[in-house]
Amino acid sequence: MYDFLLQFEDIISLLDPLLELLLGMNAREALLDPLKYQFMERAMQASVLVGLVSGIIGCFVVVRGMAFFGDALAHSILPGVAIAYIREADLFIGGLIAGIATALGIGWLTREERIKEDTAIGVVFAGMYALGIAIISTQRSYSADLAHILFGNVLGVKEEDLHIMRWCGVIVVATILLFYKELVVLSFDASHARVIKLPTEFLRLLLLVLIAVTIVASLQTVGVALMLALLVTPAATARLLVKRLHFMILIAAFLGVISGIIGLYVSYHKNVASGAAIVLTSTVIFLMVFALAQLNNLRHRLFAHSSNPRKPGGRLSMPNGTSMS
Amino acid sequence: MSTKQTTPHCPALRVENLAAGYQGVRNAIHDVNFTISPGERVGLLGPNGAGKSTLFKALVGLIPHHQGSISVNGEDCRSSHNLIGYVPQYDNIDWTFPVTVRDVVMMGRVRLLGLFAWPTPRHWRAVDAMLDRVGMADFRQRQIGQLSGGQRRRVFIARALAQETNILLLDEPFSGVDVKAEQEITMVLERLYHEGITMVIATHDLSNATTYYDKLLLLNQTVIAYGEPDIVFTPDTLATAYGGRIGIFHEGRETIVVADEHG
Repeated sequence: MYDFLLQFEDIISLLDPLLELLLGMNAREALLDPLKYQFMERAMQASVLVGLVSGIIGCFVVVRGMAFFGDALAHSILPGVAIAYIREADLFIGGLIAGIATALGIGWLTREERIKEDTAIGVVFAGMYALGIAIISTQRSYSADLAHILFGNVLGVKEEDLHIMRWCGVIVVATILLFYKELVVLSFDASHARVIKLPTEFLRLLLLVLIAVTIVASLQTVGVALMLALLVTPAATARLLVKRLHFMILIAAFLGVISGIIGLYVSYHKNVASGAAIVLTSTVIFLMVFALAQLNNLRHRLFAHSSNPRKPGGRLSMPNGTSMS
Repeated sequence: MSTKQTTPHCPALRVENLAAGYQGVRNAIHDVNFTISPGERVGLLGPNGAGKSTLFKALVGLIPHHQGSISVNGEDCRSSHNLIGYVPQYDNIDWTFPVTVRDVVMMGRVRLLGLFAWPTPRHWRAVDAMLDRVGMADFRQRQIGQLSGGQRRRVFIARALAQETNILLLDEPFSGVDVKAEQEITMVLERLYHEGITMVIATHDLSNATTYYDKLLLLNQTVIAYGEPDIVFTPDTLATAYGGRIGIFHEGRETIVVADEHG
């Protein structure tokens, strides 16, 4: 990756003044040199992949109001990871089994509205998380291991991990492309999906499983505790900018990638935990876009007031406005 | 253009011995029998809690019916490809959802498109044609939340039409909209009626019941009366359906009916 990027040194050096100001070094030193280390190169690949896939699937999490589910699912993976860790099996496989089991379990408990979704999530989430902590607490290296899983360790990503992450990314993106229009109908109006006789239960579980796969693939980058931010923040930012879901998905994917890259560099140069740096980067981007959107809204309101007090559309009920789109 | 050919002998909708309900109330409606011919406009009347929405939900398969049969254009609804168009009283739609009016109407065609297929220009043209039919063509690029209540309802009518159905179930299409919006929806329904779309309209509005509809279906858990308006709309049947919660006044040739929906 280092050699490849070296070809674009001229372009990258355009950032010289900015980086000189922020870090006191030129673009080559700040951006390219870290990638000479193999652990940084792998970390960069992992952050980009995870940002991309979480950004995409996160849009469904945001428009369907599933933030709580996403957070719960991330935590529920703990027992699977813990058992795999103790048995020295693949952490990834362990997490994936626990994640999918939780997703299907919550899906099963809430089918036909037997139990309200947030209640079912709360029960399963707390139970699984406690189980995970119970298992890890039997180990001697308790706190170190737990910290690893809770906060991630992107600098420790191995080549095999990257391989699995790539495959997960391909599977998640391909599945969304294949079922895109059905998933949009389900997300916007689940009743309509049933009226036109779509397999709504299958689609609902499919989405839950895709979220589980994304979370497990992202675990090493940001860890259980911060996973939610990767799902929600880029998507929430994108939603402020555009009024159609597929554009929102493209922008969220882009923002996820950008947050991953900037966050990782911040982590490297400022010696901050990588997961936290990535999440904080996406939070800052969100706050900036939110402020811009508010300003734009204000401007629109002032303009509308002076020239055309009654818009033809009548009541505007978008709280965040469809500004800038 | 979009409506499917039906055999002339086939009723658009035939319901026999239908019983359906939801959790807790197993038989919210029971022993429901009626037949609607193609192109008819039927008013579905009954007090609050009579099961009007339940009947609609059972007809479109949103709640299972555990007894009886529903046939659409002569086919059993479970095997039928002739999907019924349903315009609900949208209560749990997120209006800030990032979709445009056009996207929403295209959602009516998702089943027609088939699995793994993406909308082609032909499908977008069909969507635009539907928006034209409901007078919403100028709004097609708007985000759905930027519309007024009446406009949203017309978009949902277009979405139902986009299913290429010839039967529409409309749940309280005039509730909660202003007079102007009501007129616009009325015009759209009038147009569709003349195009031969079969319509069942659930309504609280008894004022034009005798003049507007071809048939009336008076429901309270079961069918109280069904048929031509002058047969159905009598003091006796209304009193049966609405219980004591209705007042009927005669003033010359006019009959004024006052239903107490909250009684």
